[in-house]
Order: sequence, then structure tokens, then C-alpha cells
Amino acid sequence: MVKLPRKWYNIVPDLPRPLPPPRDPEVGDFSRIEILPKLFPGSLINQEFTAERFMEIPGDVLEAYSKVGRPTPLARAKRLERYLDTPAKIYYKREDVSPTGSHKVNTSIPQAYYAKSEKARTLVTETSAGQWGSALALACALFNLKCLVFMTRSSYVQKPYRKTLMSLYGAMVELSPSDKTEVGRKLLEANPQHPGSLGIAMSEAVETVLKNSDAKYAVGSVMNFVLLHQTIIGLEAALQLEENGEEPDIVIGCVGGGSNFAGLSYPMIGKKVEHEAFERTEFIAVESEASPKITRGKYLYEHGDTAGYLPMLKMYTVGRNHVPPAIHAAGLRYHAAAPTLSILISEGIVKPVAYSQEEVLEAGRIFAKTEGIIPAPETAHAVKHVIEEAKACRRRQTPKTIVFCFSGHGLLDLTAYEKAN
Amino acid sequence: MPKKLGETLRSTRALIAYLTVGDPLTWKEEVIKVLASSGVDALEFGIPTSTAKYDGPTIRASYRRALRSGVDEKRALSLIKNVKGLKDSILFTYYDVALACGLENLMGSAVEADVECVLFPDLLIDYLESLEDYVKLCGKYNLEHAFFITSCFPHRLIAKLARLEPSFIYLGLMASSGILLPIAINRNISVVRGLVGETPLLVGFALNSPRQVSICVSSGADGVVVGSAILKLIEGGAHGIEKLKSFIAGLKEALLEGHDG
Repeated sequence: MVKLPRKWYNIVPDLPRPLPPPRDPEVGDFSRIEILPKLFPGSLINQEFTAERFMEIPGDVLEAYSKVGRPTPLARAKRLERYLDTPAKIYYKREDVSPTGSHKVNTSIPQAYYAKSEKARTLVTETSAGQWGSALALACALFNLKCLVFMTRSSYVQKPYRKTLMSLYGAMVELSPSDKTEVGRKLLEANPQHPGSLGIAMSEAVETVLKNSDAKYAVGSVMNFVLLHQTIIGLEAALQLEENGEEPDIVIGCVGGGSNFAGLSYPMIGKKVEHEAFERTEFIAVESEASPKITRGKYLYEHGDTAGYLPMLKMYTVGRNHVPPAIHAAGLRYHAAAPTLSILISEGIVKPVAYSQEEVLEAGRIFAKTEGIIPAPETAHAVKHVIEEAKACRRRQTPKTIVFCFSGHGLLDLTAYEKAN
Repeated sequence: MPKKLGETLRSTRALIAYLTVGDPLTWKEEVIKVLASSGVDALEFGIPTSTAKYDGPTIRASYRRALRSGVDEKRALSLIKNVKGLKDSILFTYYDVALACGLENLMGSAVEADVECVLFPDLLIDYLESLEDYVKLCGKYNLEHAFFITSCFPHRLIAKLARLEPSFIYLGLMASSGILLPIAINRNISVVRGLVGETPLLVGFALNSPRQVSICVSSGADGVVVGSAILKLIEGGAHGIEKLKSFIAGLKEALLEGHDG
């Protein structure tokens, strides 16, 4: 069993190009960059702009990581391999074993820790599928903080138990768009049944924080510091692979904003660009055809939220007003991909692919039957591509080693599977 | 033959003051005199633009005032030509602006305006492929070359820049000029110092106190650039210009103390 790594890995110093800085819009009534210290704890802003390659994980965070089950297992999908009759070896990093069932605790814990250390009393956030909201609710419970979550209406309706889960941890949950914020009221006026989007919920959370001096904003993806925290996944996985005497040919993860994909792959990509290891490894990011930013989006400066309260970041995006079709239940709805991931895609270091909801959920069913774990619909995107690669290995009779991030289980997403049946 | 800016920066700690060219509120002969007499070693001239990618509210406002009063790139360069009192100067403008008004045209005018160096903050961020062209162009016009970087630059690239023997590397400490964020600048400066070796290292963005200057110098900076803080003082009128003297003197003292220490 590997030990818990003591440092996170920051990929920024190893990127092939400079990371474009956040920017304010040319015309605007206020500076979005200037409000960052009102939104985030200082330690996180510092991590966002650090020139250091490794950052120390605080002791309290390590303790909480152990509490939620880190290091997580790296499992071999032998039954899936047999089912596919493939010579490929398939490994998956089990981020589903956390109490809330996904990788999101890896960053909610440090975000709650830093907020608490800097005397915040409340953390506010948004959630769509509910995995991020529940992970933050849990972290707030561990660090005795209040938690307020804006949850997109479409998910709130589809996933009632997510709300119960967050409430059990003591979080307050608001349906988004809500009548609690200006941006929410404006949208509800136009359409009282507005399905909501992650971008809108983010705007509501940010607006709430700007109006409350003892509250901070917590963010589930996209920012450098979030991806930094998630590298705990790949740092552990690299050690576990070494223990198994494996170096993967293919590393796969699903992408909403990019945090679990980055978490697993960045420590390996860092070694690849430095020619230290993983030289032959391919990195594949899987997105949903319903929000196809990395396969069909544009690479430009865009706000992270719909209302444009946050600074603009250079990212692959389908536009911040993007709302996925109502029929889409399989997550990965966010309109843009993290700036660091966007660079890696534009430079050809990470290859993007996209799948439709039906084929993804079918892959999820195959995984459930063979490996006994129901993947979250988001995770099923990664599973879908794993299956495609494993089939290609069968056709070509080439044994490859595939590793993917099993970012979460789907026990609270059963309606998605039922709906698409 | 007069010393090049790069050589000056290798031998002394430098205090560099930023001014927006042609801003009716802050671009004054009197200001330049005060800056020169209270310890500023070189000036950095900003050309007004409406696409101020990495500038915060203070400099953006001064760009807008300058543009409204009819100062375009051409006019800006002719205004610089008339500046007296300080030998060394750097032209700070976006590569976008240079491309729009013609790169060679801008470099030629920069030579006529007698600046030592043209610094493009967005060159390596948005036009990385033009790095070698820029260095060649500087050579052609007998201008010194220098690079702007941030804390989010690849370490490999920073080391490569140092090997191109620039007059200096300018590290932007914050995401945007004039906006102070809780970033450990001491740590970022020392990381960059470790990568650039003996290359003169200037730092700037949101520096407004002797304490910060001390931190910069003790972490490995050879000089500091101060912009928004100076503009804010000058915007205060005669009283502000009076304060400017002691403000600059305070920064200079911190700079040299750091040097001695």
C-alpha cells in the first residue's frame, strides 16, 4: 500500500507555453481581478499564481484526506477485460470510495481548511450533478463551516437524494436560478421554469459572497488551485503503478471543467514533458457531446460564470450562456475547460474525444455488470472510451495498459440510467 | 559611448517609474522633473491602448484619458522624444498595438524617440512563435531586447530567455497592474531568480510601499517598476506631486538598503 503524498503537483511550470493570465473585460463597471480576494481565501489565490512546482499539503488536510479514504485503491478491471476479450490491461483509480462518492473531496477539503484558517464562517458554491455540492457540504461539516449550495434546477429535480445528502451534512441548498440573487431573479422573470446551468449557479454563488463579508466562494473545477489539489489522485496512482511494475500506454479521464482528468494525468504529463517517464503514454480527455468545448469549442478568453462576475480566462469554450439540452442527464455540462487543460489540448499533448449520452450510459451498464460498481454518468464517459481502446487492442491484438479515473459512483444518479433506458 | 540600460541594471539597483504617455492628468514635465530629482533611474512609457490586457483600473483609466485627448501611437512616440531629464527609458506596449501600427514602423519610431528598449508584455503569452523575430528586430534597430514574464511561465522557457542575454527580464508579480493580490512574491521572485542566473531581474505590478520593495530586493530582484501608485499620487494634483517626492525617496531608500543588506 502506498503512502499518502505530502505535496501537490503544480503543472504550470511544466506547461509547453506560458499560462495566459486572467483578464478583465475591456469594458466593465468593476475589476473582476480586484474582487478575487473577496471571493477566495488568500492561500488559494497564492496557489493560483505560484511559480513553485510542488506545494506542501497542510497536516490538517492530510488528516482529513485519510479520514475520507485516501490513498484510494488502484483496481484492475479483470472482469471487464474478460468480457471485452481484450489483451489490454485496464486499471482504474477508485475516487468513488469517498463518503460522497466522488473525487471532489480532494479539493473541497483544502478549500474548507484554508477558508477556516482565514476566519471565514460560510462557504458558498454551485453544483449541478451534486457531487461537488455534497463534497463541499462534507468538508464544511469537517471544518465547522456553514455551507450554502446553489443547485441547478434540472439536477435538483432529477437527483432529489443529492439535496438530502447535502442537508444531512448541514448545508443549505437553494434551487438555481433562485429568487435570492439579482441574476437569478432576472432569469426567473424571463422563464419561471428555467432549467438552470452551472454557469448561472456560479453567478448566484459569487453574487452572494460579494454581499456577505464573512463568506467565501468555493469552486469545484477550472481554477489552477483546484486542479493542483486534485493531483493527489495522479501522485498516488503513479506510485501504485510503479508498485505494479506498470507504465500506462493510455491515460483516460472524463472532462466537465477538467479537474478529475487533470488530477490523474498531470503528475504523469509533467514527467512526460520533462522526459523523465511516461514518454509513450497517450492522454485522452473524454467529454459529452452535449457540451462539446474541447472537441468543438473555441479557444479564447471567456468568463467562468454566466453573469461574468469572474475574471476572463483563456479556455476552450462553447460560450458562457450554454445550456445543455433538457434531455441530457449524464453530467459534464460545464461550458469551458480549465485553462491549463486547454493549453495541453491546443498543443496536442492531450487528445479530446466526445460521446453521446446513450453510448455512455450503455458503457456504464457494462461496467456495472462486469466490475460491480455503478459509475456516475460522468465517469461512464471515461468508461466508454476505455472500452473503445480495449476493443481496438483486441482487433489489433496489441496488449496495452490503460488507466482511467473512476471519478465517482452513480448510486445517486440512477434516474439518469432509468431515463435513458 | 553611453552605457546600455542592461549594463546599468547589472551594476546598480534601479527604480523605474511608469507613466502613460499623453495622459492629460499625469503626463507633465513637472512630474518627470520630480521623478528624476527624487531618485528614479529610468522611465517606462506606456502607449495608450483600448486593449490593455494586463492593466488594472488605474492604468486603464489613464489610457482612456490619453486616448480621449487624441494621443495615438504616433503622437505618443513624438511626445516621448521631447522628454528631458532622464537618460534611460523603456517603451512598454502590447504586441497587438505594434502589429496594428506596423512592427518595423514602431521600432523605427522608438529609436527616433531615443528609448533603449521596447518591452511587449504579451509577446511570449500570445505570440510565443515571434520570440526570435523580436530579438532579431531589436538587433536590426540597435535596441536592447528584454522580456516580460509572469509567475505562471514554464520554467524551461524562463531559462531559455535568460540564455538569449536580454538587458533584463521583467517579472509581473500580479495578474494585473496595480491590483494587489495575496501572492507570496518573495517565493515567486526567488524561483525566477534561480532560473535566470545573472540576468538583471526587474519586478513590478502593484508595488506601492518601501516594505514591498525590500521584500523584492531581498528575494533576488535587481530593480523595481512602480506605476499605478505613482499615477494615483499625481492624480491628486499639486499636493500629490509634493507627496511623490517623499514616496519615491522612500522606495529608493528601501531599494538601496536591500542592496547593502
